[in-house]
Amino acid sequence: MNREKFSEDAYLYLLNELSREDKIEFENILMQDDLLNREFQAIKNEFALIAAVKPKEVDDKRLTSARNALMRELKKEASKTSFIANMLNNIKNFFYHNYGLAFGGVATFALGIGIGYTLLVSRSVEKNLKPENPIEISGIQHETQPAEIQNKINSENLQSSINREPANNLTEKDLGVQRNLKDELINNLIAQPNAGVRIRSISTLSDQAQAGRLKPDAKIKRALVTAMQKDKNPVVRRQAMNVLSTYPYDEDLRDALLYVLSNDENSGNRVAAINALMLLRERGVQIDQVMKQTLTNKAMADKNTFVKIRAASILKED
Amino acid sequence: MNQTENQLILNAQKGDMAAFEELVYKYDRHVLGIAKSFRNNDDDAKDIYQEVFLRVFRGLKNFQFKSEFSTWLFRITTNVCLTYQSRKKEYDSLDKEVYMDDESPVTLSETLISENNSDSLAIGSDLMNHISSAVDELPPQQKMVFTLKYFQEYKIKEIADMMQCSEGAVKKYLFTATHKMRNSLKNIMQEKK
Repeated sequence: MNREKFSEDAYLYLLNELSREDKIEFENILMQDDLLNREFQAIKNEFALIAAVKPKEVDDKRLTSARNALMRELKKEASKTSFIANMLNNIKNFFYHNYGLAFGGVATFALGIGIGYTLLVSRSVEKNLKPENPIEISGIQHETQPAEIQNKINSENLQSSINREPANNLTEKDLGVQRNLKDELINNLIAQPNAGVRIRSISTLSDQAQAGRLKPDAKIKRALVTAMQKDKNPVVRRQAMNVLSTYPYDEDLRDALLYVLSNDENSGNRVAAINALMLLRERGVQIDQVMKQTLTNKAMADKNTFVKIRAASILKED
Repeated sequence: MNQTENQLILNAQKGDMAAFEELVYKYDRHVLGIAKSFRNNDDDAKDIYQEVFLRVFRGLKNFQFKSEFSTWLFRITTNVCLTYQSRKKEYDSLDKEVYMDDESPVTLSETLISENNSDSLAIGSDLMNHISSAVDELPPQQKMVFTLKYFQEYKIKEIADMMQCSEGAVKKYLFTATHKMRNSLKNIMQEKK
């Protein structure tokens, strides 16, 4: 047994940390080796010295004094805690009592409206601010001119007056109002410098036609064809095409679509045009020679792959 | 942990001060004893005692009965002792300087007892002071283990639980501390001769 191991065993023996078997073994070693026995006695004496400095048991007087001081501190601590707990309880009670519940309900309702309003308004604003192509600033500037504002107001007034009356109960006065509205809308569509107003005119024309309040006559159709082919703004052109595509098929519509397909620089509009042609074909419209010629050209040379593929597909299916 | 103690803890967790006081009275003698043997100073022991029970009071709501309450309490006690030790270190070193500057420093030879009879424990108070100083010189962890074992007579396993370390680590601290103490004592004895 080396010296260090012996010392450690001796410590454990004296500290009563050895098992019964280990104790017996250790005692046997001591009996067999005088040197180790002397070493053990020395350690034992040193332990006795250490034990002599063992602090006295805590006396009751000191313990009582410590307890009293502690209880004072605990009371302070408890009052701090109870203050916080009271505050939390009050808040909790406020929300759990009737008036608290009512207040909570109203607050939640108001919050819901606020969030909903914020989301809807922000989306609407975002939508208006992000058209496919930006609305011309010069147009907006023109729109702010008093005469234009008056036009717009007149248009809205006319529209609202029509909305109030059903189509089958139109009086002469109403018919006159309708004519004014149509002229106003066509005028706006062709001449308004602001693209937003032009788009709105097309939408109103479409809505009124769908509601049966305005008959889509040749004048409206011409205006839409003109807008579809000539308008500077691609969104206006697309909007006009969308509305026109819902009208009964004729050569004017065909030519207008083929014109867009051949000449519109905006690939989105060309895609819309070829989709409209496809739709017409599905409705039973025959692909005539003029159409075939344009589609062949597109299938061979359009910049847009989708237009090329779709044109080839129509030709193939025909 | 018996049922009564569990109930006391549960009641104390709900804010029953009487239950908490009863828990304090059950264990506070041990806590003060550990603090006293670790710091060897009544005022320090009282500070530690107070700090321990304030921590227990604040943390009792989080006690989840995953260990014995006594183990948890003594764990806090050892932690507070060790923290207190490091906090007081600065002041202690200052005290030491003052002591060293004393006009009449005590020499080791003067502290030795006239008779070398340890069994009778007739040791002079100066020698006791030197031994106490040697204990104070131990690093905090070793000192903690040493005092818990030699003065409070806890088992090594209990000390390991309190200090949240292995029994092997406790033994290592204990052996190292004991070696150091023996060396200190040998020096004293040599001076005596």
